[in-house]
Amino acid sequence: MRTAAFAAALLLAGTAPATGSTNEAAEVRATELISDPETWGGRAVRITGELVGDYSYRDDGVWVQLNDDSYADAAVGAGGDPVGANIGIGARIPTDQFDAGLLGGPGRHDRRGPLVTLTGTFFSNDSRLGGETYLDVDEMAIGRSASPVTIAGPDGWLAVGLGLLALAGLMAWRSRKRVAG
Amino acid sequence: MLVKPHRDDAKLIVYYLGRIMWVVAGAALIPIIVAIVEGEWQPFGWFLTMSGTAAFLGAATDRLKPPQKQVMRWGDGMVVVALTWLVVPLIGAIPFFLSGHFSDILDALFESMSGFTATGLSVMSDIDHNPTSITIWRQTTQFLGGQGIVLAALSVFAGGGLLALYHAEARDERVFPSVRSTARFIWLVSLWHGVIGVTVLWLIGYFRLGFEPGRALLHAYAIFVGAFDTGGFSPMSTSLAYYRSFPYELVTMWLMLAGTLSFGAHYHLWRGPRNILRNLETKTMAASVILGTTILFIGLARTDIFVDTPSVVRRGFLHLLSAHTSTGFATVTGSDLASWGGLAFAAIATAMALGGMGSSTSGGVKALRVGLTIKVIVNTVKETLLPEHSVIRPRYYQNGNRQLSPRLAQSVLVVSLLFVALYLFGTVVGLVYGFPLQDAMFESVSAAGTVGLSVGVTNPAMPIGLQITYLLLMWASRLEFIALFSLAGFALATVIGE
Repeated sequence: MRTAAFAAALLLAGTAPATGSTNEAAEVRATELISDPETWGGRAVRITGELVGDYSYRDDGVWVQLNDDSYADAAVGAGGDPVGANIGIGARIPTDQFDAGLLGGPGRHDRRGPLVTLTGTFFSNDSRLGGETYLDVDEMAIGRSASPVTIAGPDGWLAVGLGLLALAGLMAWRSRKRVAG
Repeated sequence: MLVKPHRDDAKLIVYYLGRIMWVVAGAALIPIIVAIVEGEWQPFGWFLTMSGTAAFLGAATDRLKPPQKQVMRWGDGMVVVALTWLVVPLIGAIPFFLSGHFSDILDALFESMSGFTATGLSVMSDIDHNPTSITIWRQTTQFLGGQGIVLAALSVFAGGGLLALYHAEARDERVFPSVRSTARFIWLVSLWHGVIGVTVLWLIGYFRLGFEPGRALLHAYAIFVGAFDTGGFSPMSTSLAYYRSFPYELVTMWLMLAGTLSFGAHYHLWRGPRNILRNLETKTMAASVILGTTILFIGLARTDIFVDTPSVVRRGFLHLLSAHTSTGFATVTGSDLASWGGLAFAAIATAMALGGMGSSTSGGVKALRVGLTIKVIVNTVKETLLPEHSVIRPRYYQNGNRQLSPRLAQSVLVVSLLFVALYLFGTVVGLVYGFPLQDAMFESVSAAGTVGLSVGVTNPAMPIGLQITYLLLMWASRLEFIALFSLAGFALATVIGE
């Protein structure tokens, strides 16, 4: 069900209006960009994923981390399986295109981040920015706003921990008492 | 003939191991407080379980307290430290395993060992969605390990025979006459750099990068610990590349350098840098960094990866320094690093193998040993060139004029060779699992040099045999072999001794 919703969101995000060079933007995954920067460098690409971590507001735009791994659908804390490292790419979004109120906060352990489709030019080792590799975004379409993740309350480990601490305290107290005696 | 250890020796070892458990139980307070503040109640239970386990082990060994007159012997101290570096990562892995970010206990133990040995290789899944308290614990393992778990215990518990423990943790330099005052000095230096480092990183994070104040503080603490304790864990999966900020990288480089300086060097720096500049260790480190940087720049310039000098300097120097200080922060991906190839790649791998300064948080062969090894080689060449009865008395300067005795030369060569053997062993295991020579060697040196840079061999899906190999490499390298041999000798004597 969740996967279906994710696919629908992707579809929705992918239908965002595109103009100019973004029409020819190729649909890519972050792994393709990372593993073959020579092919993709300087080209218009479109990528869909979850914004995670922080929104970094700077003079030249808002820098974000977009992950298009399986955790964009279900993070480990939200019931997803641990299937490997995160995969994503940094992106610079023009300030006038960035509406944090509409997006909601970035994805973290207690929040599913917004799912967006970013269209722009991919730069590999861009000399204008000291060798940065990133996506310079022209357009952003929001497929899903951020939403809170239901985090489970304390589980049985809390009782185990408290029990062990109490036992340790009792043993230490008896040991001190014996030494004093 | 091996002599079977006396029962009192075993009791003493277990007793001191128990003392160290109390320190681990106390250290859990850091993530526990964070979990309470952040309302992360599940992790709160995991950290209580870890703390409770450590406290229980500590309390259970309390009754083994030795009589006042029994002093810890050198060998016993070595065994305590070797066991400490096995047991503590095991207990530290509890919250990692319970977090669900690892597929099995071995992955969690690997992460914990990588943290405590300040290596920074990671097999954690979905780092970017970590609870804050888990992130803080992951970084704190590096802080505890980098500072020295035993050193932490020495700062808390005073007692006879503790000098053996201090040396067993691969620290051979005392700034002050007593170990305890030396331990306090080390904490003072760390605190000073911590306050300045975290403040400056927070200011950059908040004002320049536009992070939320609380998040800027989390990143500042995490990067300070990762850099100063030369660990290299980062709160985000993309390591230092996440920040895309030159000022942030500059501060991180300063912290990495500070972390790789021996604490003796810190002391001399405070008193005036003249003496430290004469030291063989400082000269070797400086020469090695300059040479490595030059080779790296030439290597990168010969590729078309970076098209301008500022990019070569910014990316190249950071990675060279990260490798040399055995930190492991990166601003490029593993596949990018692998694509550097040739000279640049060799410069990074060599820097990882050589490592930083002795009595610091960095790993690798270490600058003083490298300098002394070069001196031994030069003297050997001299001996063959000079007339037969010529006498050479090799000397070197390290906080005073010293003679390079045959015994010292032998010891330096043995440890250096053992490091090389460790690097080769890991490489061969990597080859057995089908990785290309370049990748197998790079990753092996990274693990055995407790660096943490990766070209992608280390990941959650890596072969179990290779994972266990790297785990053992990190452990052996952090102990610098002597404590390891003592443990093996103790175990052997227990079994076959008379």
